[in-house]
Amino acid sequence: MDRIKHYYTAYGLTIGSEITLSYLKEIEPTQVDLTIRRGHLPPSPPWQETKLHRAGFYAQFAQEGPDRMWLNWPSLMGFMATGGNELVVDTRITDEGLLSLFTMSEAFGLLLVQKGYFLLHGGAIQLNNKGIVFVGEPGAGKSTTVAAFANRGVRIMSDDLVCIRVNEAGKPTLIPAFSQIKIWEKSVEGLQIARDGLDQVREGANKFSWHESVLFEENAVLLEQIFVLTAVNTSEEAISEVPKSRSPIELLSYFPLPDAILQGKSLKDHFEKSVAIASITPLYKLSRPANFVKLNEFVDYLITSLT
Amino acid sequence: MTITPASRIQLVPNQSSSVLGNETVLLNYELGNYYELNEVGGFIWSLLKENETISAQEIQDKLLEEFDVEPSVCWQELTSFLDNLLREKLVDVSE
Repeated sequence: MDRIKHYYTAYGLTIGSEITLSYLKEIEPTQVDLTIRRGHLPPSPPWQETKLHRAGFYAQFAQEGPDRMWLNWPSLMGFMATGGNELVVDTRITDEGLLSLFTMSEAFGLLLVQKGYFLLHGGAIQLNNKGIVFVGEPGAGKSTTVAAFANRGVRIMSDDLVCIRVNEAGKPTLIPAFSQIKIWEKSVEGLQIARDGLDQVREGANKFSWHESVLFEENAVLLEQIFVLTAVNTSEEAISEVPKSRSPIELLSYFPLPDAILQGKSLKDHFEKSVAIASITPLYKLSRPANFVKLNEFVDYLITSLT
Repeated sequence: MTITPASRIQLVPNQSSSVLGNETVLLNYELGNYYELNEVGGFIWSLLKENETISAQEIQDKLLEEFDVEPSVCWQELTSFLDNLLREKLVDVSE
């Protein structure tokens, strides 16, 4: 009766899934950390509107305590995450690309939060065995920055959902997500990325997925630095360090899931993890390089300074 | 409520705090409010954290030991700070 057909690994976890998850690494059938199933969702508490949007849709959220959360993309698909080990997908959509896209973004993030990970909306790379994270507002150039490093042969760790584990001693480790960067056509052209390694994604026209040929770091590494990408600014210093006491509040604004999750004890846990990260990981504001030449100069600078 | 030297001050349970660099950051996680305290504020906060309750007079004595300040100025600043903590529901005060 088991309808689990696919086995994958992502975010350091083993996944059994009824649906195909494009771009995830397939593994042999095994004991899994979590399962993804199709099914009808039980009624949820009243929906709350969220600021999450994807492919032109806004998500709704509901929860019954931290262990039971619903995420609904009206007219597309609904999810329910339970106890950090089960995600139920309710949809009539059969398009594998679209299903993967919505499953492996915020919906999967609910499971990661339930498992106690600290999440940021951003991208991450591994340089000299150190984890470097880029966060920023939508459109700040996170994916383009990650792609610029990947184009120089640097291993990527995530694009979209950055997953950090803070251990009992308060040490933050960066967990690899899965091997994919989603980039706009303009960045593909600007960075001169070979087109033959790219697929079109369903998230929007002119957006591409770089998957097969990108180098991916499969092991967790220590978190070394976090960059906040800001608007292009030519008058001030390109890089400035954020005072430690400002870092927790800065990190809070890049929480990738519905804000309603961060209440009471969940907010306390999130705050304490962000303090642990801020106390040992420097946070820099980086004014976004004004063009692809400048972006490549920054890539070279960081590669040189960290190796 | 007017704070007197005998007033006993105690932290509310719904807060979490930590020292980052020279400042103390704290969060009232029931109300979702975030604060940063400077060195002196952080010193008072650390006294409140170390003691289940402490009187305003005891805090004043410790401040005078630690910082070079006129007692009358110190008292004025201390009561104003404690009033703020009370207004933000970060402490309870009893006589």
